[in-house]
Amino acid sequence: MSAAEIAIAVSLGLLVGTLSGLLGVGGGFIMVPGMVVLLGETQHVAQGTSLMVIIPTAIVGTITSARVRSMPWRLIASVGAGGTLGAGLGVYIALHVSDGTLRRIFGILLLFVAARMLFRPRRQPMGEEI
Amino acid sequence: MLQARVLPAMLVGFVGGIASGMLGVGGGIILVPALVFLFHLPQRDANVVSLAAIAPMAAVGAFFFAGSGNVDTRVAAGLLTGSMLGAMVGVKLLTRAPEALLRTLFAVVVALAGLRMLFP
Repeated sequence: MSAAEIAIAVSLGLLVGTLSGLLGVGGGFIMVPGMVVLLGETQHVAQGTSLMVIIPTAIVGTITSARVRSMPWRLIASVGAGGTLGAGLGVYIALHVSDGTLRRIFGILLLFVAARMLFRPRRQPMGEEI
Repeated sequence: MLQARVLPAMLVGFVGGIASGMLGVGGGIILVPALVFLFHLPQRDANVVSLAAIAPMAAVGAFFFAGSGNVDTRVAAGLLTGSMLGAMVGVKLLTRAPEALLRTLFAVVVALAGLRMLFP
């Protein structure tokens, strides 16, 4: 890996990590195309590497949060438990099945979600407690 | 109150997990809107819950991708160096940013991700 590639990887990581901590996402939707376009990785290697990077990033972000606020661990554990099952199925689809249809379903779903978030704002919540 | 939400929460996680494993992403793009619209969490709380739930999901995905040789450890090391630092900065920003701004930013990111899924 050349010095330029290391610089690209670290800068991409900095951008992804900041978005990750701020928005509560993994950042894979930026990291995966970033690795494919800027670093010449194949799609599958980019996806695998992205997932690998997301683990410590999410852990660091969570620890940083937990130091300044209370965390709803029961809810987190429930979502995480369902998520591990789904992730297994998702990887199977990625590696063994054509994912075109599911991709389109997710894509359309996300556009609806974005539109609703932008144009029909929910009432301000009464409090911050969970 | 939260006990009654265990099964729906697991279902939300399940759908997010499929997206995560399939696309190599965290799945937060699915989790956060689900937590906001279905569980009525404030945007800030949804982001925090999502980020914490993402770690085990990504671990499952990474395990299988690594098993099939699909991880570039050197690139991962470079990305990690930046992303762990970024995560600390991002969380600090999260605690200060107004709800409305968080919501708009998130919506823009969701729209971009949706477009990318439709036009890879």
